[in-house]
Amino acid sequence: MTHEPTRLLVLLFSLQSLALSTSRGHLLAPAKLAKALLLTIVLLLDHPGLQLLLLAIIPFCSSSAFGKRSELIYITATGIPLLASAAAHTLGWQEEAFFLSLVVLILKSGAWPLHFLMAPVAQDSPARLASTLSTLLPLVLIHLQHLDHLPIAQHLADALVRVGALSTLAAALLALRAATLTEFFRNAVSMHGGMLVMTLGAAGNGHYGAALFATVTLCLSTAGLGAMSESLMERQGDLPLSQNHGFMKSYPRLAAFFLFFGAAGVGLPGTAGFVADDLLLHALWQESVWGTAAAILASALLAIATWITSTRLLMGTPSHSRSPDITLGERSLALICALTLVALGLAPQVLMRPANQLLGTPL
Amino acid sequence: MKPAVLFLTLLSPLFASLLLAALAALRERMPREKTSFRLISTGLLLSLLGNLVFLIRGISRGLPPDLDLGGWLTAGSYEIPLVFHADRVGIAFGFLSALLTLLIAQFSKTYLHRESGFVRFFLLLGLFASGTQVVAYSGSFDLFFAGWEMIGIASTLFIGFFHERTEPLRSSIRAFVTYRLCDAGLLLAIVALHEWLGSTRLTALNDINHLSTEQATLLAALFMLAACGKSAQLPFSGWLARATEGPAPTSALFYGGISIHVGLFLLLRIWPIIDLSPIIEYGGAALGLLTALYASRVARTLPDAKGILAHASLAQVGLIFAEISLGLTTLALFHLMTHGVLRVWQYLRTPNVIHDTHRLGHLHGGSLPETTRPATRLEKQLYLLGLRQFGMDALMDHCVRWALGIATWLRKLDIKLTPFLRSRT
Repeated sequence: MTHEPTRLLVLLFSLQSLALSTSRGHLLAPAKLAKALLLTIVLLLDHPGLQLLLLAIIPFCSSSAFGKRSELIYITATGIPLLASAAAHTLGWQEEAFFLSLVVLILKSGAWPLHFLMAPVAQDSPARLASTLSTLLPLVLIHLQHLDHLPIAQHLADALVRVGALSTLAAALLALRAATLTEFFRNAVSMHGGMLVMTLGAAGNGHYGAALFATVTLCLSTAGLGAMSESLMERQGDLPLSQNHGFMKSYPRLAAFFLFFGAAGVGLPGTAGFVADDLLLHALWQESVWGTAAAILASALLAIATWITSTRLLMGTPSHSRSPDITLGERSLALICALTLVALGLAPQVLMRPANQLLGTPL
Repeated sequence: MKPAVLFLTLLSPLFASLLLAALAALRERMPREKTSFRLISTGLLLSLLGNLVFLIRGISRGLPPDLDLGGWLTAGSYEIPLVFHADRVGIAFGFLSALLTLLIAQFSKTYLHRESGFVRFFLLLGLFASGTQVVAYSGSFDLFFAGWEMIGIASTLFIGFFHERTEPLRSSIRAFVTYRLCDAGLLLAIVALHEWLGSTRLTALNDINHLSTEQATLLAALFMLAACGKSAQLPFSGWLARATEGPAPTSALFYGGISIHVGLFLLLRIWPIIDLSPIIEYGGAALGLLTALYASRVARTLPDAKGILAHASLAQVGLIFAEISLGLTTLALFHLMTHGVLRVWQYLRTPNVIHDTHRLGHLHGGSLPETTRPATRLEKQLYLLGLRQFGMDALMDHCVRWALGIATWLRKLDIKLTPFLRSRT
């Protein structure tokens, strides 16, 4: 067991992400509690093979895992390589373990065009997708700590940055053309997935702290946006983005959080998103100037898509709705997540200092 | 530079806004108009007092030294420095911004009385005020970018202030698209600056002689792209006239007084880099002059007072742009300050001027006298071109459509990629 600060912080952020992705009234559901408990064990253990094994099992705890063929396929497709990675690590085949773990990370992040497994999961419930991402953060930490120091990581760095750049741009463009709220959310996640692939490329050359910080931001902002999208869908269904709906007057708090999480994901000053973008871009520059330019452009495109989606959903002729604004429980969880993003934005060293100590700093 | 005075100057409007937001979030009813106004105007007043301290100190005892609070974030060789810098350009811009914002707040108290977005207006005003102060006093380009973004966000939200109507929303999207795409240039320039000069501090510009001409040209071009977006220079001028959809006081503050000049302030900050690249120097001057000509021609074709004023501002901003590009920085700073003050006054006076013109017209017993000289062919052609805004809007729309075309093609591909997993069991 370990009490290393980075792991405790990652645990805290993972649990936050998991709690946010839980629709109201189900926070204490046995499946969720089991998932939280397993996540805690994973992050307190100090045995990479066992940690990877548990991470492969966790998604099966989801109560909805067997309700849909698509979700089962997704969980299996990410679970089997992860089990193989755990086995390879235990047997001392480090390069194979690294490669398999990388494949799982790319699949889980939903980077385009490998998002085809994730897409159907997000089709009906943004929160369910955000929930699957809650296991991404511990996996990134384990990958960075135990597998990413191999020479193969350095060899693959350039390719990962290039692939991630293309993926990010494609997903951002898709977000611009989204026809519904879920489609927008799925593409936003996919764009962040592409960013994660680029981040892993940058980590190949030693930018471990930056990679972890960017992943934390990705998970928290995505979970927040997913929770708000889910709350809106619970009240109004999957809304088309071809017209303005004007829900700002009916749901002012939901609107405020939706705008906040959307903006935090694309680098709102004062939030962790701003610092993460800054860190990531500097790390990427050393790999590829074009990759950096693509990441900046993709972030700008996603920001535009987020603003367009927000205007469509929240602004326009006010719609009067009988359903209430977000509940106190939803509001509290969203507020905690928002405050975490702000705290990390104002004091990034809280995470970066222990992360650099644990994972090492770039030259 | 004393930290307490600096933070008062920079953050008091933002804290006032946050306090107002907390009041709005925690209570069932929105805060009263008087409470909102008092809270924000106190923040703005404190910010102005802080600026006054810098101004008086600058005049009496010379410019204060930089305030270096160390690294906001450090990872290996990379650092986001928390450093503040008060030179004559920064103090002049900071003071002008604080003064005009406070005056606008005072004016808006009556102008927006009983308007449904009263609290939202003052909340955004605080955000904007802090953004301008961060821009004015930041000692590193990372901080500068944070302030720059705050101004952009406030501007977008103000344009879409009357969000029940479709047109302000469309205008806000157009402005936001321009801002974000041009801000990409600023962000890339900041990253490049760090990699080539080892730091994003303003003082790093003292070592720019280490840059090659190609590097200096690229950096200056990227900074200039950002400035063109924020200051509505060609070909990004289309959003400016539409931006006046917001409340009149914000049009005065943003598109007459401060926001439109922020791009010029950036150019004043990076002038040493422009100086290293003759292409950008003369290119920038040509662009500024072209924008001035464009704006003056378009202004003659517009039927609305706000649109004419927006283009009159644009013409002057184009001239200042050219002045900076040619190295006339002191003239440009003086021009910027006086133009900002004059234009704010004109924007605020516009409704009364229209009223007075109507009255004068009636006193004369009809409309104002018209010219009888027939227009020449050239004048007619220029008028027609001005009416179509020299095809600039159409050009930008074409570019957007092209990008959206790729997105549509990608979406079709995306739909084909995933259909078999979409079905439920």
